[in-house]
Amino acid sequence: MIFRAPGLSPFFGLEAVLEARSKPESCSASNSLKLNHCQRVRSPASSVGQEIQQQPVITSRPVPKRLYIWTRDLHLYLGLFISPFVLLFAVSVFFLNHARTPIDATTTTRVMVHDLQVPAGIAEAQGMERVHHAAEILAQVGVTGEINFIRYIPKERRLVIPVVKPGVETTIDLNVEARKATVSRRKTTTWETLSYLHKSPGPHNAAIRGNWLWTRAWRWLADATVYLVLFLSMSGIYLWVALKSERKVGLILLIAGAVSLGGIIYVVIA
Amino acid sequence: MSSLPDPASPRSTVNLETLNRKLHYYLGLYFLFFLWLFSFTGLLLNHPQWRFGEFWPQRKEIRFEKAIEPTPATNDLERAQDLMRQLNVAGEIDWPDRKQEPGRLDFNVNRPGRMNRISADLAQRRASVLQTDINAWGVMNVLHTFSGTRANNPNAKRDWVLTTVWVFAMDVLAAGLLLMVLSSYYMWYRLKQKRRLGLIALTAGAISCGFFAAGLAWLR
Repeated sequence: MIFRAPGLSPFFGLEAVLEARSKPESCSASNSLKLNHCQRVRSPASSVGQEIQQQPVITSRPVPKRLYIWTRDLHLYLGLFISPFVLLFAVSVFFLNHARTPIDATTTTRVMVHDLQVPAGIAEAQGMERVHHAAEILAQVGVTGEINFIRYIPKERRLVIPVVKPGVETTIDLNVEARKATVSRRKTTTWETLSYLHKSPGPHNAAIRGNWLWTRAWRWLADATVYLVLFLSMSGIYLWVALKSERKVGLILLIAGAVSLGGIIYVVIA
Repeated sequence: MSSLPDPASPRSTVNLETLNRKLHYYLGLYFLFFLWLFSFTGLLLNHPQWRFGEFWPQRKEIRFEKAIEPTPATNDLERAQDLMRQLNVAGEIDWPDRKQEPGRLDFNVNRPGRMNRISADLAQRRASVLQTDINAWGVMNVLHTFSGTRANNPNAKRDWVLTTVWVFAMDVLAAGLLLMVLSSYYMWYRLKQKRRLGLIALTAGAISCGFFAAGLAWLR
């Protein structure tokens, strides 16, 4: 069955296709949503009452139809791809908002490493130069991860280098004179790991942040999550507007959401 | 998203599909602006080098002193709350890491957009306040992280009702996102034709996310 789209419309008449009142009988199961963009067509096999396939209704305007189908499929597949990341960011919110977990010192293991080759000028170096020197120490003590920061204690000629990666926190306490280091390693809990990823790379120590390959990769993925979520929300709006019967309730919820957010922010900052 | 129910499906399945689909886009529409706020501020937090989002160099500071009345409070929290009332300051109390000196009370009172560093000399009955105001970019940044708690610090407790309100909003958004993802799985599962490609997309996402969440700990 073919529904003609009207002339001017923000959706190129697509909503008329989706909203056509004269629904085919085969679509009656969806009448609560008034969603008719997929007319149920019996395949040859279905002539004996078997498989029923979903077929988009052919409109007089193939471009909007194609745009709708592309948007819908991209919304589905990109949404599925990014969903584990969204779950990670959402679940970790509860830990970040509510958890108060003092560090359990009993889970920390300590190892002393001797005869280290301490790079010349490591104490005086600054910024990424110091990070590169510290990375040489990391390689010698067998530690990988993001160097969080480097603290030099001149009186004791000591360098403290906290190194983090999802699941493990390591602190290297290097005695520059004695060329030895204490390596303290702590396995973090799953909640801590998810929270670390939620906050990584974050705004702190920007000059040295991303000194580990996988932190840079995670930054890229965290950004991609945001861009894809923005795409999903925009495409979701497009798909919603196409459902004419849902516009009123949807609009009310959209406004309710905007008012709630604006109201809460107003009382918090005012 | 099309997921027309099979006519052969029982009526309860059809109703569930309809409800599930409505849940998906109703939640999405209600939380749209929340999601945009947290998405955008997430980007800002991950890219402190973006010049347009700078707020700290543009901050405005005012310092003032005020006489204070002796407080009948018996503990630091009550003393701080009494001082805040006298100084007409509201927000979440942030205690310094160090212990309070005798006869003094030093603490910060923060809310998105304004930070107050309060140093009170209880013996001299004087309090000095350093008030720092930040611009809209700063407010958005703070909103992303404003929870009144700090990981690994059991002493950091929420004490301002509006922090609790904001945290509740963040929790509800997180729960809403979880529901949206779960409802999308169900919608996808009901689309037989899309299962294979969908499974590939979901597996690719799960593997890449799982690698970071669980795999990196084992990487040498």
